[in-house]
Amino acid sequence: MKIMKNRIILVMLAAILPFISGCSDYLDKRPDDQLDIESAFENSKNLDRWLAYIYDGIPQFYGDSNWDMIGKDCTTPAEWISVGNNVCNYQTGNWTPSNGQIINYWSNLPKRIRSAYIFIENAHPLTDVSQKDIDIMKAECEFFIAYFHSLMVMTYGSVPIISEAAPTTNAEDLMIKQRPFYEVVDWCAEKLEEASKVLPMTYSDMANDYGRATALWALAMRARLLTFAASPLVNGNPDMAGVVNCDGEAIFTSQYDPYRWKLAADANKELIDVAEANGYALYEADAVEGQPDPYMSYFGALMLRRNEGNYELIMPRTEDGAGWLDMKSAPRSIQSQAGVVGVTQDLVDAFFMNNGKVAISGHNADGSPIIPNNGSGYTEAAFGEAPQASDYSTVDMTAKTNYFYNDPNGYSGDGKKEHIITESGTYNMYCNREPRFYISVMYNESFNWAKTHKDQTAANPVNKKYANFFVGQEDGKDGSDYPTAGYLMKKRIAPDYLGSSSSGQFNKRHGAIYRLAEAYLAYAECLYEYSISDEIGEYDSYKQEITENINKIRRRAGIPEYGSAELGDIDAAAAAAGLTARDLIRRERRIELNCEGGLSWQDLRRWKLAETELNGPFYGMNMDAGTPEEFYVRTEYQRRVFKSYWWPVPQDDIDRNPNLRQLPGW
Amino acid sequence: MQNRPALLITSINTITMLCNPISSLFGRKAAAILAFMAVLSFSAYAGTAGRQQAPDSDSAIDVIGNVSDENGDPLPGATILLKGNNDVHAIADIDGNYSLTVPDRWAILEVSYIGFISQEIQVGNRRVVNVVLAEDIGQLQDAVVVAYGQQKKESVVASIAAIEPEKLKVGTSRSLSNNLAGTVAGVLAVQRSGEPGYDNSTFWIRGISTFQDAGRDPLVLVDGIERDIDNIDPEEIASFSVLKDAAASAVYGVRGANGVILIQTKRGEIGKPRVTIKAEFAGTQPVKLPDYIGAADYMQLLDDIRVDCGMTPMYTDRIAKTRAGYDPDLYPDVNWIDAITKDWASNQRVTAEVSGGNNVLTYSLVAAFYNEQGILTRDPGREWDPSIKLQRYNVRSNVDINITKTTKFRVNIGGYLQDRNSTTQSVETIFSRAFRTVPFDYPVRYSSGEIPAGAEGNVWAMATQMGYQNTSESKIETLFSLEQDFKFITPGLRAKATFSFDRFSSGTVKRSTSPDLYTPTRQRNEDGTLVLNRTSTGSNTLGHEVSGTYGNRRLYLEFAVNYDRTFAGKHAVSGMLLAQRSNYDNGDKLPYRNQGIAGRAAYTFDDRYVAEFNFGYNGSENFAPGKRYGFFPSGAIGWVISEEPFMAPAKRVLSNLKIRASYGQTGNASLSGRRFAYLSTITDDYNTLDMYKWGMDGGYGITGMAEGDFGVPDLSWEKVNKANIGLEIGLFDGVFDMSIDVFDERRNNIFMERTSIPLTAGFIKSPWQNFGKVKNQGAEVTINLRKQFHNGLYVGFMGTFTYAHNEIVEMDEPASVVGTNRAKTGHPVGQIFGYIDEGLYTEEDFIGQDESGRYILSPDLPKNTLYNDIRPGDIKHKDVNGDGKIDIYDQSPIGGTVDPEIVYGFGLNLAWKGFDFGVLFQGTGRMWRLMSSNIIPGYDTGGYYNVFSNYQDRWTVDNPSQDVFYPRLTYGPNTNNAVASSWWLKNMSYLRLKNIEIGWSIPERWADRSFVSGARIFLRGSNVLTFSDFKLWDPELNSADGGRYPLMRSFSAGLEIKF
Repeated sequence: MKIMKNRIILVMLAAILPFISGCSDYLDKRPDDQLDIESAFENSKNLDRWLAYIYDGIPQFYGDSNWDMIGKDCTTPAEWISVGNNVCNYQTGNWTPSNGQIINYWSNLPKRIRSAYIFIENAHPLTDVSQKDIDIMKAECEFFIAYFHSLMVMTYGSVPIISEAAPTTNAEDLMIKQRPFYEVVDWCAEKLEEASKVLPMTYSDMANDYGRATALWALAMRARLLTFAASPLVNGNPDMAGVVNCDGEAIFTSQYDPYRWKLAADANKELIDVAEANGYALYEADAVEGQPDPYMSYFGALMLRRNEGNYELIMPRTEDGAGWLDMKSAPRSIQSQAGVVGVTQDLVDAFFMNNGKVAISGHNADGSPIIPNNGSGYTEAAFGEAPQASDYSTVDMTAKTNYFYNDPNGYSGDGKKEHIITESGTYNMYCNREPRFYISVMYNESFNWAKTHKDQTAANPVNKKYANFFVGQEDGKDGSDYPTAGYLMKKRIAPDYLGSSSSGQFNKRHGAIYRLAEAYLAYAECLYEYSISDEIGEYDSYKQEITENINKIRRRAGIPEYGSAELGDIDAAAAAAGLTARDLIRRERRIELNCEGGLSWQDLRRWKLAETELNGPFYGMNMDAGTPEEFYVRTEYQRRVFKSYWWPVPQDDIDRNPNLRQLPGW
Repeated sequence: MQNRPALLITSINTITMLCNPISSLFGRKAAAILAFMAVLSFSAYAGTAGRQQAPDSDSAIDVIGNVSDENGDPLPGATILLKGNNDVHAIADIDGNYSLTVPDRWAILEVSYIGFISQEIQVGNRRVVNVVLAEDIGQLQDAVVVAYGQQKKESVVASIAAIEPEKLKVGTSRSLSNNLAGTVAGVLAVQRSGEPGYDNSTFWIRGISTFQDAGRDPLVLVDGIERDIDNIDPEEIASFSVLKDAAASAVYGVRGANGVILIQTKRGEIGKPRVTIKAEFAGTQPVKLPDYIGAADYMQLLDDIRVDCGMTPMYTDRIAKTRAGYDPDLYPDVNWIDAITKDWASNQRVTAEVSGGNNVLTYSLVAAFYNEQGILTRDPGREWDPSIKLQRYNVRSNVDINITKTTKFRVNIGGYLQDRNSTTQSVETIFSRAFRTVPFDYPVRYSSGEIPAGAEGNVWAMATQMGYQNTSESKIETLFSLEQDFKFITPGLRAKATFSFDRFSSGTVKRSTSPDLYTPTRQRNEDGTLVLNRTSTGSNTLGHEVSGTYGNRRLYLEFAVNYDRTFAGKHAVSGMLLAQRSNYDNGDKLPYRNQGIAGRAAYTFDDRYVAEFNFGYNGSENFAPGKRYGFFPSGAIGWVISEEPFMAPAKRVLSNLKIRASYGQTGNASLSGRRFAYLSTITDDYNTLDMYKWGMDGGYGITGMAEGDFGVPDLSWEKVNKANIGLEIGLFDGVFDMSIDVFDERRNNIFMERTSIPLTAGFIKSPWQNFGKVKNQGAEVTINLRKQFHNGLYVGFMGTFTYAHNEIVEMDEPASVVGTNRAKTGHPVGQIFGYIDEGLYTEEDFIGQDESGRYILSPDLPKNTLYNDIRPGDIKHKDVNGDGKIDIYDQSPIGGTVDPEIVYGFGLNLAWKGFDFGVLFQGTGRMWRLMSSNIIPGYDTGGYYNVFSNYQDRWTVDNPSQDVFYPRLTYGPNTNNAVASSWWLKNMSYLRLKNIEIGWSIPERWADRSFVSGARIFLRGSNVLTFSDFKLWDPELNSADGGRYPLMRSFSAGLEIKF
């Protein structure tokens, strides 16, 4: 018994032992796989990774819920609200500083800016990274700091300058103040110019480094920013006079300054000169039988990569969400959830005729189109009435192009590349329009540009296929997914989309953040606005240069240039349509850059036209109709309410930072 | 005597050692069963009676006899001691017989048996001394299980609710947590889903005292080890205690902040083997399914709304054809809830229990089988079965061995196996889709067999056509302890060492498939076939995918010394000092570790004045070196007034009156957000940072990297200061008992993400800090009434009531928000916010219409910025901040929280001549919910969502009533009417008939004649009736639109047999 007891005591002592011996280090654990700031910058791969996060702040060019959708070019179904898509709320003015922001620059970009500052503070040469490499990388960071600030200042108007990575969480480091608009603009412009001097024109390892910031990126973003900063919204806008920051400093100046246009014109000119000197040019596809192919040229300018011959693209976002928009813009018969991102009647009406003339110069209050008597040849059914037989074309319209319009084999009849663009029987509205129209808009009963139908099998080739937007039909209204205004977006959508999100067939494609065409158009506009102003008054001496730049775009688009026999000079062409040269410069820009990453929405703001253009009824074809007679009738599908030119600072930050002021109207 | 226990230990060691290779060879299931059987056979081997040796002398007398209970049943294992010389003793054998040699005829025998009142008998002239012991009902209730030990009920001064396990046997569901609401004072519990396997209740002890997700859950200890409450069968439980205040739980230190539930599993008692078999079979059906309107009514409503909005009707033709049943393929009328559910499901539970033992070894074995079917339907055309089926097998074997008279060795081996079969799709999604899919779009299946699917998929196909999966879980739980009484050093000193090892694993086999899906059609071809477009091509075969998790394992080691002694009959002193260490490994990079010491010192004077001091000192690896350990003290005092001499005259009536108070601190080291938060990190997480691709083909893709979390300076555990005052009243010696507790908890240092840091600072991850503060106050009451009348009628009544209200004191809200109507600070965690409605707009609120027909709001009223086409019948919201417009600044706290602040229960038990009847009601109060805008008809223009049958209860031009469920309905979104608003705030309080049970036990005289010692049959109903103001779906369900697996009602019959 005694022995037993002793044994038990021994066992118990053994049980205590680990407590006595192991106490000190039992909890002494720390993760062995974590980097800190210092160690992260010791590895060259990590430098790229650090930059990858910063680059990822470039706004997506493709998307179904961004600025494109709240401008005047694009549509999405109202029913999307129920699936959490906020776009419709923005379209109808139902938005506040605290409900889901579809543009989240305020919350997203400061993170990238902070990351860029941390990179600049910490990056240093490594065995496999030279000082020069580091200098370029730091210049990339400087570029992004300025570029992201420029995005914010163009969006929110009144923003702070983030000048460092806040070292602590103390209030004095965090509660920064908004700065006057031009102070931010000029700060960004200067930084961009500096970055352009360090950044290379191109990278040698294009397989890996294509898509890294170049000097042209910096010049392009500077030109875009300065053009914005010269525009009526911020240049002499009396409506913004009372906006002040927390110290009572005025954010905007209400005095108009024409030299802002000069500044912008110079920046655009510099961009054009440097770009052209380095081999950049508007993309032009190979000619077909000796004739230019404007269809493939306009298509390729956005869709083709540099190694496919597209030297127009200045700033690509090499990774972008193209596949999603491909799906959303393909007719629904391709796949469910598709066939929803469309364009508006207003955009359809904006396109020129094939003869380069204005088809519709504007709209009356009731939505009826104003068809000028300028010999454009445009006709449509009387407003509000069903189309008659005479409102349909009687002949095929053809063009020489490599684009596979009505014939998937690329050839028709005698083997010539003579393609049918519109067949006889097409509603007149869609006949004889300029090539860019057919690349941009999928209208009802047009040839469906999906090369293959989803039901296509070897036994059942469904080669020829037409969009069918009639109610209840395979691409038409039946539930909540349908082309709201009677059109689908066709531009920047891959024609070979086959549609299956699960099978990984999403297209991967760069986004065209900036292409040279914008520079020509902006340059023309800046020169015009500068020269026409009362203070300068030198329009006549600049007119030649203005038209030349516009004509570069028209030439590529395959329509007559201003100064030609059909059109006369730009003022004459404008007068014939009851418009002004400014209207035509703007119209050229709208058509050329339609549906491109929100540029047209940006333009409506900058021109201070959004309050009228984005307010009131929006029209489309009648989606509740089952026959052409009912369908091709202009029908109101939505009433838009314009709320504000400026995006609101998120309410959360107004609450958190007592030094921030919300812009009026929120 | 010395050999056998040693042999036993060796044998059991051998068994466990054997189990390892066996488990690797045959799986854990086999090993567990083997261990169970082995222990069983050893128990039987050890089950022979012990014998005595006695001093020889001339006057010695040999005494024999029998020990039995009042029914005449023998009491094997009863102890017979010679008074004054404990060396002379005997143990009754299996038939209750004993023999003993006593020195002389004046010898006095002390006969004792656990649970019975001991007797002293003088031998006198007798040679045969038979003893009948009376059961001591009081004795079993005396001991209360407290942290790391037991205490006499009178000396408990902490707030501890000890529940008889029988009271937890309500309802037929799998989860024990579903039985807590209303039965245990101090526990707030809600069951948010009825899906088998996921129908556990969420529960909190004394409510919520943090706004973080982590650090809310109580610590549940089964036999002292952290284990899941829902995977223990109620039949395994011997005692159930809830530790609520700091005095009760401070010893758990950083684990004790949220209260502790202590569960002890059943242990054997000395006696012949007792066998109980219990079986219960239940049919189940949903408590309530939402009631949707049919296709024709739905379309008619849409047309009515269109007309109200100045549009033309568009469904006229389809309504007529649907009503006429013209062509159900083209004009369907589907109730998708009906399409995916069966009317009835079922569950079964069978348990077997064996216990017994002798003075050397006692054992308790419990085996339980639980089987449940869900209500999702299957397609008889498919040979595989995707419907929900769940089986669980629990087994537990607890063996106690007295190695020496002062040494006890315990072995607990338990665990469970669970198999769950279901569809491969999320059941939650299926129910929400059934609500989302409108009834008129397409049928379940075309008459020609094709399956149509819209944008939301075909929910019937999701439930029945997508294959099945089987998830198998297993858990083995072991515990070994050695307990030594050191009375040879000093009386009252004991020590105990405990080791435990738990292992859990689970694996899933998924057999997925998918059907061909077709676009819904509205047309037939000329030959009468449907115009069908295939949208997706399914697969003809079942896929195969195995996924398993690492599972988890937990090691626990504890060493404790106890001291318990009463000096001079008045000074009761007790103390406890304990060291523990745990290691929990769930496959994370590093295991979770915790270690510490805990202690208790208590002093009771003359059963009247009680004082107690507790402390925990422990730490976790998650904190910085040097800051890993925290000290958590608590103290409590009590005064048993009824024991005072001056109360003696009242003692017959006022049998117990005690007041007690406690104050102390506990902690919480379970921090949400991140581990090792004292370290700064770099983040390279793909989900946060995404990937960017450079290169001509986007070929150089690389995941981002950036600054991650800020290291938190001075990172610490959360601290909770808890105060408690309690009053216990007992009348008529057990007829009436009441206990009332009032508590106040202040939690500070809540580890939280800073929320006042502006976005412009650019932190990818908001810095964390020990920052938040929450106070939580409330009260709880327990009442028990029990009376046994002379005519055999027994009446029992119980009632519990718990109220807890918390308030956020500090949560880093921006200074510009605190103090305004938008502030969360000052309101409960999870406070619902929204606009305050002032009824609906009337014609009088408008001054006319503009040329486009829009109403112009009176300039006297606040401008409405929520919607640009406000009309009469729209919800009129209050301009709370008085700035002349209704906007987000007017959002205010409305109602309370989704989690109830009040939970109560009351029940009645009657017994008479073998019949027994019990009823338990359970309810909640101050429980709210905002309706989802999805329930507003027309909001989605008929694209999505069903319409509830109360749809006519709405404002219309012809019925401009304010007293309606729905405001003016619009075709398309009306953002004014859809915002969170007190209009849509519904009181979800309810009262349920949770359990009703009637039983009949066979008379004892029948039992005498058969080998059966007792039997009872019973009928039970659970969740039978629900009373609530809210009618659309079950108010307890976690849903703002009703689209969720419903809670179940069950009706069952059962049988219990004892051998």
